[in-house]
Parts: sequence; C-alpha cells; structure tokens
Amino acid sequence: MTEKDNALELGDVKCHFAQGKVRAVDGVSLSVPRGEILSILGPSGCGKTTLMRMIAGLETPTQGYIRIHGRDVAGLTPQQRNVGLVFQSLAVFPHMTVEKNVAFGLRMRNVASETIRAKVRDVLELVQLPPANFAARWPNELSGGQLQRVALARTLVTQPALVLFDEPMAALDRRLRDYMAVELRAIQKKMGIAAVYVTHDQQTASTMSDRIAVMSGGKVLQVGPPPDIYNAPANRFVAEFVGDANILTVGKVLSVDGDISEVEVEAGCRLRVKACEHLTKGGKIIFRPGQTQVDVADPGGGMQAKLVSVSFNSGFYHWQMELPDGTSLSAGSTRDYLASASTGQSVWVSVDPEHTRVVEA
Amino acid sequence: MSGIGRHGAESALIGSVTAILIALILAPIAIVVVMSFTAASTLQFPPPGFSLRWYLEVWHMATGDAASLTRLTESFRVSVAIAALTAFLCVLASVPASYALVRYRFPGRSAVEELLGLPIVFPAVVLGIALLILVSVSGIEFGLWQIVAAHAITFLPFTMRNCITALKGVDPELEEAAKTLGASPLRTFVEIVLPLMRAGIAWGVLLVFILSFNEFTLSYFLYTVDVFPLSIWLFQQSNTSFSPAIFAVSALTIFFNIGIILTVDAIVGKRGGAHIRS
Repeated sequence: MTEKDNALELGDVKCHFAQGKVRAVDGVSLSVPRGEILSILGPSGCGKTTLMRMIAGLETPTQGYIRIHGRDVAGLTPQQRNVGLVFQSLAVFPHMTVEKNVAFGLRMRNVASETIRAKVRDVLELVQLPPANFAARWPNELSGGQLQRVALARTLVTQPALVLFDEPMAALDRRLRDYMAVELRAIQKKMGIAAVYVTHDQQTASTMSDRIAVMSGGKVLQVGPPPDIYNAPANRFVAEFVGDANILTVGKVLSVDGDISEVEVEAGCRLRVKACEHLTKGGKIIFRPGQTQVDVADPGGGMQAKLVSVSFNSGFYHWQMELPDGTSLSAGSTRDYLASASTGQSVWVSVDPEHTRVVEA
Repeated sequence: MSGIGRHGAESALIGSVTAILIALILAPIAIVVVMSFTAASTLQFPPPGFSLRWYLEVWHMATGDAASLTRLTESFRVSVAIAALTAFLCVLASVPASYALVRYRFPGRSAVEELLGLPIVFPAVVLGIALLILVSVSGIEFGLWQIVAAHAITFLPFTMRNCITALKGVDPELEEAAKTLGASPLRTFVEIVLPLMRAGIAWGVLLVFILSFNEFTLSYFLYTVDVFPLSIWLFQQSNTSFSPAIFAVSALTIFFNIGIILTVDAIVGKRGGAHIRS
C-alpha cells in the first residue's frame, strides 16, 4: 500500500498546551486507508477531540505531520483542507432552513445554483430527509435524529476528502444511536469517503468502524478491528474500556505446559491461562464475562466464589461473584446455569485458558 | 391558579406595590399626554376640557409660514440625524470590538471590558464641559458631529453590552462548522455571526437612538445656533413661552419613541428570535 492510498496519515502528532504542561495529544501515528471508517475511542479528556480538531485545521499541532490523500496540510486553513467535520453540537445553523444549511458548503465553493439545488435534493434523499417535507423546515422544528441527518448531509454534499465525526450522536438515546450508527456506516460505505469517528462509546465504535484506535492520555494504546480489540486487548485499560472484564493479578507461575500455564493468582486461587511474555508476577489476567463459566458444583479447576447477585437483562443472565479476598468476578450467559443457586451461596467459576489473556500490569 | 402560587395577603401586597410603582413611573408621562389634549391655553390640571387644538398648533409650527421661525421641524430633523449617526457609529465600533472581546484572549482584555462601563458612571455635565473646552480649543467648527461624538462616547457601552450578549449566544462551533465547510473568516462573519447577532445589534441601535434622541445635558453644552436638537428646543420653549403646545410636542416625541420600539420589535423581535434554538 502506498502513501497515496491513505486518506489520512498522522505521523507522531503532538499538541501541547500551556508550554508543554498539558499534553492533550502526545505522539499519535495513525493511517486511515481510503473508504475506511476508523473510530477513535477513549474517555473524555483523552485528546481525541483535540486530535480531530488538528486534522480539521481548527487546532495547530505542536509537532508531527498530518497528510490528507498524501498532501501535507500543515499551514492550510480549515477551508483549504476539504475535510468535513460533524460536530458534537451538530452546529446546524439556526438561522437557515434545512436546504440553506445543506447548500452552505456548495455556496462557499461558488457552485452554480442549479447544481446546488440538485445536489442538495440528492443528499437529503440519501440521509432520508425527503426534500419535499424537510427542505423548507427550520432547525428548531426538527428532532435530534433529524438534526443529525442535516449535519451529516451538509458535510457529505461537499464530497470532502475525509469526514470527521466528533461524537455527533452523544445526545441521542441508545436505540436511536444504534440505529444511526448502522445507517451512518451504510451511507459512508455507499459514498466511499474515509471517515474518522471519535467517541467514548465502545458500542457505537464497534458497530460503526472497520478499525478502532483506543486512546488514553493523549496516546493511542491499540489499533485494530473491533473483535481484536475486544478479544485481545493490549493492556488493562483497553480491556476495561471496550467492555466488561474480569481481571486477576498473577501471584506465582506454578507450571508451564506448552501454551498453557497454571498460575496462582493474588486472590489465592489457581487458574490455567494461555502463556505469553507478560506471564510474570503482577501481570494481569483478563477474561470476558461472556466466556466465563459458572457452576454450582466444581467442574474441576474452578475457583470457588460467593454468588453476590443475579440479574436478567435483554436475554442474558448476569452473575456477580466475589472471591474470598473480595475480588469481584462476573459472568453472563443466555442459559441460567445457576437456577438452583441463591445469593450468598458458593459457586465455581472457570474459564477456558484459550479465552484468557495476560497483559502487563 | 396552581397550588404553588402565592396566596391571600402576600399576593395582594405584591400586586398593590407593583401597581403603585407602575403608576409612579407612568404618571408623569400620562400627565404630559393628558395635558397635550387640553382645551385651555393655561397649564391647568386636570384640563377643563379636551381638544386637539395644540396638536393643530404644533402642525402650524411645523408646516406654517412661521415654521422657519419656530424651528420645530429643523430641531426634529437635527435630533433624528444626531441619533441615527450616533447609533450607526456605536454599532460600527461595537460589532468588531465585541467580537474581539468575546472571541479572543489578549493582554488588557479585562481592562477594556471594565473601561466600557466608565461613561455610564461619568457625570454628563463634566463630559459636556470637557468636550466644550476641547471644541473651543481646537477652534474647528464640528457642527452636529460634536454632539454625535459626545453621544457616541456616552452611549457606546449600550451597544457594546448588547453586542457582547448577542455574541456570547452564538456557539463558536457554528463558526468552525462554517469554516470547515469552506467559508473564509470574513464570509463566516457575514453569513453566520452577523445574522445571529442581528437581534442584539438591532436592540442596541434602538436603545442608543432613543437615548441620543432624548439626551439633553450633553446637547445643552454642545449645541450651536445651526445645530439645535429637539431636547434643547423643548427646554427653550418651556423657558420662554410655556404653552400647552410643548406638551403636544412632548407627547408626539413619546409616540415617536414607542413607534420605533414597536417597529424594531416587529422586525427582529419575533422573526429574529423564532429560529434560534435556546
């Protein structure tokens, strides 16, 4: 793959504020191939919005390069970059109708008014705001989801080299957000425009993206397709951020048998895990609740724990357990394995070594 | 009434205090308006009878053969010109100045903001004398501009405050959105910032226009034989010939002010605010 194939390339991009005391973005290198949608996932304050603003030209990097379709954009103003940005606030112009909002970018590019009208109609159809009903509406007459579509249409109509999304769906309710995530991805794929989607919501990130970059403290911790990030987190932060995780600390490595190793965890019990270079004292053993088995009787090699709570949600039973030293573990399944158990009772927790992962402390 | 509302004595007390205050504020204005309709040629109150004779008199003063002598029309025109120029100058200065104050951080920014309130606490008499000295020292004939300058200095804070408030209500992300959509800084300002500030600007213009139109103290120091504002005209008329015609002119002035407020409200009050999400 050559550089030209990348819609976006970031090389060691840094953004420091207050004479370097605040490192909002601290050395990020990423590339987004044409047509790909990459999510930047991280908690608020991790630098993801600053990174996005630098790509759009609203913030100046302290160091590093940003290339859009192979062209270094240092020194280019936002209007020279042809990068679309959908804001968290959506920033739909309140004093313009839907049609005027969507036409804005084309008008700034001095496109002929006939062409503008046609393009605006087309893009409104694309985002499912039939022009006959919506073109003349004012923003304050629209719902959150509709405003979202206006903001999207306004950005897409200019056919930017790259579209950036700054958590534009944060204000929508869960159901609408999931729906919009699927739809947004479909529209993005249809238009073939590369996109970067910034969010703190791992579910939206997973639904939406080809790859996820997990960010924390101004740095990218891991980049990969959503299943890799979930199943093979690079560290404890990633593991916990992209979903629920059971985490145990390695106390002593008892034996190694090829790929599988038996360890004693600090909580006191023994566990068979997949061996790797981080398998030393203090390393963190991570496994997902969905791959954690529970039983009322010891299946052999299980950890004895106290059942703390049981809940049922959206077809899943969810059990909360506690090891003797107070470490909590959780497990979930569609089948009620602990139907006969009551809270406070002892249960056995086990996990297939294949589904464990040991990362640095 | 809802259960949370105020009851009985408390409600009656609040109601009557409000009524008294409103009456106190409106009484002088009401007296002026009532007196302007008097049938008598004296200042007897309440009027013994009502007529439109003083309005007719004002009509003659403004249009008749003696119009050039009474200078009423001329005074009105001068006052409108001064008020319009003052409002224009204030807005011209306030829009960019408020943008700098709200959107940028620079050394001395808070000092500038504090200074803006200064003319409000500055005694108009002192400013009037100071400007009069300046004008006579310069030896230049400034005509109506010397009153315009004085008014602009004094009333600038009003347009500034309106513009600052309006600008603070404009989400900076709207400007950034415009820029990422390909708008230059100037077009962003013209297409996004100005329209969204429109109501604030209009109300600032209105306020300054009315304040300038009715202003007396500064005008008193700075008027000349050729530049004779309506407030000075009213003052001189009441000193020389105290006829009820003055009340008619005053009443017309009040109607003029109300008319402007209603016009601005009709133009920006409803439409301007309707499409802006809160």
